Amino acid sequence: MYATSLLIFLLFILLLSAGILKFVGRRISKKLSVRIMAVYVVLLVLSPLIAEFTVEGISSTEESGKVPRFYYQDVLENYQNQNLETLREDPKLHLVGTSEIPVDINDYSKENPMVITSRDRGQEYGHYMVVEPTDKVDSIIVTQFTQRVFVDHVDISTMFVPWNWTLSNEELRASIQQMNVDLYLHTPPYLSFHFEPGYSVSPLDAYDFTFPSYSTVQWIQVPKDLEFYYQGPGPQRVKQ
Amino acid sequence: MSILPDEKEAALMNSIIHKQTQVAIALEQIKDKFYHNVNAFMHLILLQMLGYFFAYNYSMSSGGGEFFNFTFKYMSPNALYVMTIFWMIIQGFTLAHEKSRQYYAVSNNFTAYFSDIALLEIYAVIAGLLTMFSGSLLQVFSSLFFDTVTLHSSYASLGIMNYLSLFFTGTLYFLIFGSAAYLVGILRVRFRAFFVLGTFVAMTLLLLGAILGVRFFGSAFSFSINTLFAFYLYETSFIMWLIKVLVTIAVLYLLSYAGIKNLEVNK
Repeated sequence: MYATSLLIFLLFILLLSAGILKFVGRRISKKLSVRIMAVYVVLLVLSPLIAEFTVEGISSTEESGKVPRFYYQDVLENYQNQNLETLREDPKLHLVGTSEIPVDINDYSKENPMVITSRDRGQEYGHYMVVEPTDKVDSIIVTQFTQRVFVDHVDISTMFVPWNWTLSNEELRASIQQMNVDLYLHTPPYLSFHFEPGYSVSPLDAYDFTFPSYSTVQWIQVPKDLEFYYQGPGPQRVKQ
Repeated sequence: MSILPDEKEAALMNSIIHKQTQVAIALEQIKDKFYHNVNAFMHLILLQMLGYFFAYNYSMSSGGGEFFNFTFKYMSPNALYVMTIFWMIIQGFTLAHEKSRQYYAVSNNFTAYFSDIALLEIYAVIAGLLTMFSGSLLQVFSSLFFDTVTLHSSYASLGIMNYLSLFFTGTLYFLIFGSAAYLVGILRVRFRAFFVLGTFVAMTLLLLGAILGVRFFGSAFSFSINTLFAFYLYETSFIMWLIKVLVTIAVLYLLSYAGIKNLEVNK
């Protein structure tokens, strides 16, 4: 079946090519052909130079295997043994950014605590959050990480759109943007590696597909005396 | 039937054209054919444009989660190679087809053949050079149309030898397809109605051979177009590859010369 469709496709292309040839032969003068050819050749010869300035380079040649899959989950589950300073220096994590939200702890009490909600647009995101009450901060500091993830050697962890944390109506919540990222990856033609044994530019390299690892750690530091409670069915990760 | 006289006869003739050697006439014919077929390059450009279109649809993969959706689209100039091969095939047919036209004032089978294969070689070199640069032009095009274009990490290991390999292998593969098409074209011009019959007979024999092969040798007998491509494409030793390719081209040249040798010109 595959061979048949391929054959039909090739036949179609061959007929199309022949059709183009008829058109070129009848409608286009020799002079015009030469001129267009000259423009095309100039464009081709200049293209490596233009590409140098317009196309992003090779984002990473690091091995994706160096970062274990689901590493972010280990961080979240061992949150009691983790601290922010070591996470910041962890090469397996990408620091997305830090945001500071001013808060007056006197506005909250045991009867009227701050609500930290892990819900946005009906979705539950509690399993990415760790809350650390600490006397090192006077306001709420949210530090966001993603695990370093490479898909075909492209580091996609840097493309994370940070969660937007806000405090309103005594409720700390994040608005989470649905990310749709289209990436275009250029692969060199096979013939460049014709005489290199074992070379493959197959995009279907199973070891490079680590999309499931693409996730986040939201580390929320709150002043130690702030009264708060989690809202939502997610795990209640409060670092002691 | 040859129009050109042999050397003894030529010595007795006074016309300037008869004092020319066959190679000199063939060289003139190359120039003439190159000019006459200059539209071929316009054809190549249009086919390569089509190739750029296919290059964008090379392959795709995607993955998603709770708050993200990634789509990876792969672009490769491989499609341009396929389109250029089509161009070479058409040029091979066109050059062979011209044998049946009254076009060249001074010609014999040798000069016609010599100029044809020389022109095919020139076409192959030009096509090889153009496709070598096509990867960069593809990058430029895609950076115009899309925001996030990155290079595969294997670009990092591309050196001058890789570009030479790209040019050299591309050129010789184009030449194989061009000369194979030329051979088929010559056979068609030579045998006319018998050619169609011969094609059917050859296809029937191949089909029968495949059926009988499987019937008697079982699954051990397998021949597919992939096997044929793999014979050249997966050869990693340069010398072995060169021998295979040059022998193939030589056989195709010899067969087409055998086909054209006694062909009546300007019929």
